[in-house]
Formats: sequence, structure tokens, C-alpha cells
Amino acid sequence: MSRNRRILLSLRRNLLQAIPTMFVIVTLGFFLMQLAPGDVADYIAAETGAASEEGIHALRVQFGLNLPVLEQLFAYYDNLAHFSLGISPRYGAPVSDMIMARVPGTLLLMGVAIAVALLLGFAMGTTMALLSRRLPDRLLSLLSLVFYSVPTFWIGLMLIVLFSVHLGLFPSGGARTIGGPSEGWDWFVDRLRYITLPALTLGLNYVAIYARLTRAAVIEAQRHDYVRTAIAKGLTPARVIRRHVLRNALTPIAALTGAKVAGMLGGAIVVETVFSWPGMGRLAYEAILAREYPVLLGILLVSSALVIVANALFDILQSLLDPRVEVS
Amino acid sequence: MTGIDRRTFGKLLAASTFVSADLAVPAFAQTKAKGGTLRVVVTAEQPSFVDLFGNGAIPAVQGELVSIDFDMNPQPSLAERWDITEDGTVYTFHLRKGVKWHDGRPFTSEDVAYSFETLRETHPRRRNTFANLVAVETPDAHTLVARFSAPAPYLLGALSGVGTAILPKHIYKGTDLKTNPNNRRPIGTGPFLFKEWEQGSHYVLERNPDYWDTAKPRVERIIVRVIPDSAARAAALETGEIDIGHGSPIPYGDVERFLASKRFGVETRGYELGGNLHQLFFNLDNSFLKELKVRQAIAHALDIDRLIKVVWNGYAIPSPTAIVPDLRNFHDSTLKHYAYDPARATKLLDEAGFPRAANGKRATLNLTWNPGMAQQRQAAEYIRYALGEVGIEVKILNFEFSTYIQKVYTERVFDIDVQNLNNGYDPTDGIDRAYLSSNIKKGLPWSNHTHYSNPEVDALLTSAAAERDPAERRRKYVEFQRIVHRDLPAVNLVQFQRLTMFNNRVNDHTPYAARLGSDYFDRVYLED
Repeated sequence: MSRNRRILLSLRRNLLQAIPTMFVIVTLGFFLMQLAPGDVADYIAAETGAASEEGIHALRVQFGLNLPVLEQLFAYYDNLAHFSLGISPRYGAPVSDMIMARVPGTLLLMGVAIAVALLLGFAMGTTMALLSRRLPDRLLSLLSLVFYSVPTFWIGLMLIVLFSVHLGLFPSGGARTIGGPSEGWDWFVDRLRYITLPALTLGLNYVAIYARLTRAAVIEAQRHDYVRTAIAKGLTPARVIRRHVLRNALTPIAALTGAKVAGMLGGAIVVETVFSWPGMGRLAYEAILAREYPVLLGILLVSSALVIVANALFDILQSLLDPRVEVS
Repeated sequence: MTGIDRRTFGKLLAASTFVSADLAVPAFAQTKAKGGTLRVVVTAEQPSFVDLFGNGAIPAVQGELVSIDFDMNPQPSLAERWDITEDGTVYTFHLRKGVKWHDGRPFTSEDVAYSFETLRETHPRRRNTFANLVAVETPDAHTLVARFSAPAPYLLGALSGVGTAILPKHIYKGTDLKTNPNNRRPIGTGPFLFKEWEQGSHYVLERNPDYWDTAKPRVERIIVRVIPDSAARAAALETGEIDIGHGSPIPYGDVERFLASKRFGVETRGYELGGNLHQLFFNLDNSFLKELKVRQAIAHALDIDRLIKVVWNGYAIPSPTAIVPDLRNFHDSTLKHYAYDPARATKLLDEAGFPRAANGKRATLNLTWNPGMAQQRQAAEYIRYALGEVGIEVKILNFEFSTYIQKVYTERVFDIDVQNLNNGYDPTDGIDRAYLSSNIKKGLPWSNHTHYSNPEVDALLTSAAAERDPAERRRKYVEFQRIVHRDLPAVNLVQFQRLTMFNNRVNDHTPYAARLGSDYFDRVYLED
């Protein structure tokens, strides 16, 4: 089977799975929101500090909350069928605009966090494997375990205290200097300064996983004949590790990274809150608090699409890395 | 950590007054250099910038008809002066001439008339304010006559920037008010132009070069950042990324540490229009709490000084009555808290027929607390401790905001509700909703959920609302305070102080007006 054909098959499978998956996610999300006490009319009424019964009723009628639950759900599907995510009851703005303004922020944060986690994970895992059962292995193992078990928000706050408050190296929050450089090298440096701490916070949690995985894969790969052959050929140890050991260790890591994207989206909520990073996670959190189901469902829809796309990409990546991986 | 006692609090107040002392020398203040960027932090994002529905105002852009000074008196702003007829039903406003909207159109009496008439329909609070408004006339472009069917003594207090948005008629007329783009990118007549809003991150205001008061504003730009996490706000202040934050931006427990660094100041004024009140409400349908002696016992079991220390770190003053000291025209300062006296509480409970059972308990009560304010949780824990001492077991029910509203106002699962139902700028604003028997309404947030019903109170509140004579109006509210102090549908605890934390480079941020922390920023200037 040619490589291209495999990729096409993989894409088709992902696409076929995507539509029912998204349908189920939206429907489940809708019913979960129905289970939560209160609705957005209650929230808006409480937020204004004073309200009348007529006022709340008028809000319910306006947002269709007085309709039977199933009718509300079908109205939402109807909207979707017309490519509309609806209007946010609180903000009075189209949900699609609100989400699209936040997607780049979240994608950037996740992308950099994954890169940080992979790089650190590789480096730590390889070091641990090569020095396996010696002191550095034990220390790094302990360190990665700490990152894994300490709550993300605490790591975030500690990084702020150390790097922003005491050392003054990085800003404590936000995504860029407001009114700062908008292009070129200065812009890049500015964005880099702002993303370092949040991406590190989000990534550190995953470092442990990648480090352990790399360590196991490297130790495993070292036992194989082709590694012994490579050494016998007289290749330098660095080259053996890079070309023969790490490359084979990449396959399980790529698979796992794809699977972790969804979890990372969840972790992003915490990081976005601590670093006041304008992303989707916080929007979702606020939508849940205010019971704004059009906003939440929109986010679920967009983020499930993102996860599906990410998985498709990692599937492809995996089949490129290891031709033996079959696409069913 | 040592709490700040009330004496220290007094000193802090004095210190904060000193910071803005150059007010007394306006000539000096006028010579301060213009320019610079003021960076403000807010704790949550407002869903709208035009207060059509009670969901967020921005006076610095909007402008305001009158300003309210620290003594709660109206001062001229867009309205230069006003006349009120003898019977208190006709208000004539003389508007400032030559004022322009940010899009260059002239500001006229038509805009004000349109605002009154619109807010009467849409705004949850102004619906009451303008309920008796029968006609608005605009004899010329700078005169507005508002006719009421009954005296409206509370009117002027409601016309500040946080109370009544003055709407550009040419933008709103004939459009869908809820989705009008101006709500998200407003124009006004105020000292600042609204530049951009990046939702979830920040919005930017820029100096209005055509502001009618040519000496103002004094800063070039204002960046308002949304930082939802209190520890992150504290860090941003500490690193100097933020200059000022209103509405208690950092935990009360951190204030002392900030002040110790000498780089920061704290201001407690500017929140007078809120009438901030911390109280606990009883569910009067509970067979145990129905007994007046039980409620008295609970009042006697609470040590208010201790509550001020442990919950508010000293940033609160006792408010034994339903109308807080800040509302000085109405507050009855002769009323005192039921004395802290656990022995007396025990005796009252015994007399009421609730002796301690074998396990030492007399009753078990469910306590809810409003999650909108972090201190309520600590207050709930203090109350559990204090009532435990006299044999009342308290179970704290923890809910997030929407669930809380539903559980308390629809399902009424509470026996005691720890709350900050504030007075607002006038008793009609915040008191009526909680005490009028006509406002016992299932499912309505902030309604009379104790089910307190006293015809005498109903009559007093109703007649006080329309009372023209200030002395008589005060008398009625004092009478009301005494009755509810006796009947105890609620134990009023303290008037808590919201804090403005600022970097010392910021001056004149709280000049005179009480604007609930959403400041006008027309006088503020920076010093480097």
C-alpha cells in the first residue's frame, strides 16, 4: 500500500468518525447543562442585582428557555444546520465570533506547551535511560514525578512568584504587551516572553509522561539487534541514539501525544485563568458558570473538531514515522 | 497573620485621605503634567458597556448627568443645574451646551429624554426609578423637563454614571437594543474614547480631545485588563504591570503586606453608592427560627468585632441596622448590635423551649452563603463556630453561583443565608426588595426570601419611597430600621469596605465621586 493511499484512508476514517462523535458530544453537553440547577435567565437576573418576575420571564421567552427541552435541542440543531452557533445571551454577540477570537490563543498555548513537554521529556527520558539506575536517573525521575503530581495552578503561581515577582524576567500574565510591537522580531520576542511561563506550566505536567515513555522506549530499543549492529559498524554513540534508538522510540510517543490533546485542552482552563491568557478554556468555564449553553456547546463543538483534527494529524505522523503502522 | 483592628483601619483611612490631599489645592493639581498610560485591573469581564439592562456601565466613556460627591449630594456634570418644583414632581434639567458625542454629533435634551424613556422599559433598577415618570418634555435642545405622578426624592441619586446611562439617541433609535453593536463598542460624551476590546483580555480607552472640560482628562490612555485570579492580580500589581485595581482586587489578607512595601496605597472611599452590607437572613418558615427568642439568641451569639477581624481583616465597620452608615441621610446610629453574650443566648434558647439534647445539640440548621464574594465562606465558618458554642449545629451548604441562586431563591433549602444584599445608593434601591411582603416571590433572585411580612413595614417603605420632605423621609426609614431590628428577620453584621489598591505613582484616582469603583478617571494623573 502506498504511503499516500494510507494517508487518504486515515483521513477518511477520521472524517467518518468525526460527525457522529461531534453530534454525541453536543447532545450530551446540552443535557448536562440541563441537569445543572438554574439557567442563564436566573444568572442574568442575579447579575443585574435587581429583577422582576416579568423581566426573568421575558428573558426566558427571548432565549427560548420556556420551550420544552427537546424543542430547545432541535432549535439548536436547526441553527447548526444553518451554520450558526447562535447568539450569546449575556454578551448579545454571535457565539462564533466569540469563539473564533479565542481559538488562536488556545491553539498557540497548546502547541507551545506540547513542544515544551516533548523537548523536555525527550531530553530527560534519554538522559535517564542512558544513566539508568544511577543517581541522575533517580533524581530526574523524582523531579518529573513532582511536576506530574503537583497541581497545575500551583506550579503556575510559583513560576509567577519566582520569574515575574522576584526575578522580573517574564510578565505575570496576559498574551502580549498591549499597544506593544505588532510585527517583526520585536513582536516575536514580546509574544515569546508572554507565552513562556504559561506554556511551561501547561507542559510540565506532561513532561513526566514523555520522560517515562522515552526512558522505557530507549532502554527497550537499546537491546535490539540493529542497535548492536549500528554500534558494531562504528557509529558514534550520539548518532546511534539519534538515528536508531530515538527514532524508534518516537512511535509510541506520537500516539500518546495525539491522545493527550483533549486532556491538555482541559488543563488549559486552569493555565488560562492563572495567567489571564485569553483562550477558549476560560470562555468555557465562564459559560458554564453563567449557564450559557449556546456558548458552551459552541466551544464543545469547536474543541471536539480540534481534537479530531489533531488526532488525524498524529495518525498521519505515525504512519510516516513507522510504515508498519496499518490504517484499518 | 495579625488582623487590622479598627483603630488601624482608622489610620489607614486617614492615610488614604492624605494621598489625595492635593485636592484641597486644585490650582496646583491643574499644573500636573498630562500624559501616560494608566493600567487598570478588573476581576471579571463585563458583558456590556452600556447599562441598558443592568449588566455593565462604563461612565468614563458614557459621561454622566450628575456626579455624586462623598456626602451623597449631586454635583453638576452634563446637567449644569436643575430646578425642582415645590411639590417635588417636576424636575427641570439645564444641560451643558456645546457637548459632543464621540462621533461628533451634538448632545441634546433629546438624548436624555430618550435615555429616561428607554431605561424605564429595560433597566431592572431604573424601572422603579422612572416608574412614576409620566412625561418628558424637551422645550429646547438644552432643557429637559421630567414630570412625575408622585414626588421622586430618590431621582438625582440615580442619575450618576453608574446609575443611568445617557444613550446616544441617533445610535439606538429604532434598533434592537440587545444586539446593538454600540453595547460592545460604545460612544459617549465622557472623558475617554472607547478604542478596542479584546474579549477575555483587555479593553483600551483613549483621551477624548474634545471633552467639554478642556483641562481634563490628564492621562493619555487607559488599559483595563481582566485578570480573573486573585493571586495573579496581586502578582501583576507587585511587578508593576498594573497600576490600580478597584473592588478589592487582592485578598484582604494580603493588604498589609502590600502597604508594608511603601510602593502601594489603599483607598476605601468611592464605594458609597453601593451601600455595602453583610448580613445573615433567616428562613422564617423554619419552625425553630420562627421563634423570636431563637433569633435573638443567634444575634447574641455572634461577636461582631471578631467577625470584622477574622473575615474582613479589619476592613469593615459594624452595621447593626438594615441601612448602612454610608447612607448617612437614613442610617440610624442609635441602634446597637445585640450584645455578644453566649450565656444570654443559651438562656434564651432554653426559654424558647429548645434545651440541649443528650448530644449537646438543640437544633441543626442549613447555612448557605453567597459565593459572589470570597469572604462569605469565612463568614459562614465563623457563624458555624459561634452557633456551635451555644448548641446550634450548622451545616454549611456550598454552591457555585447559579446553583446558589436556584437553591436559595427557588428551592429555599436554607435556614440561614449569609449574604451581601447591599443597600445601593438609596433605600428604595436595595431595601425594598428584601423586606416588602409584596416581594415574596419564588424564583426571583434577591427577593424577600425570608418571607418576612409586616404590614407596618410595608406601609413605611411604600410611603417613604415617595416622601418629599427629607426629614420626614429619614424619620420613616429610622422607624423601619427599629422595627426590623426588633423583629430580626435578618441579623445585620457589618458595612464592609471594598478596597482600591494602587501603585503610589497614581494620583487623584478617587477624587470626590462615589462611583462604585468604576471611576471616571477624568482627574487621575501619573507620577514617575
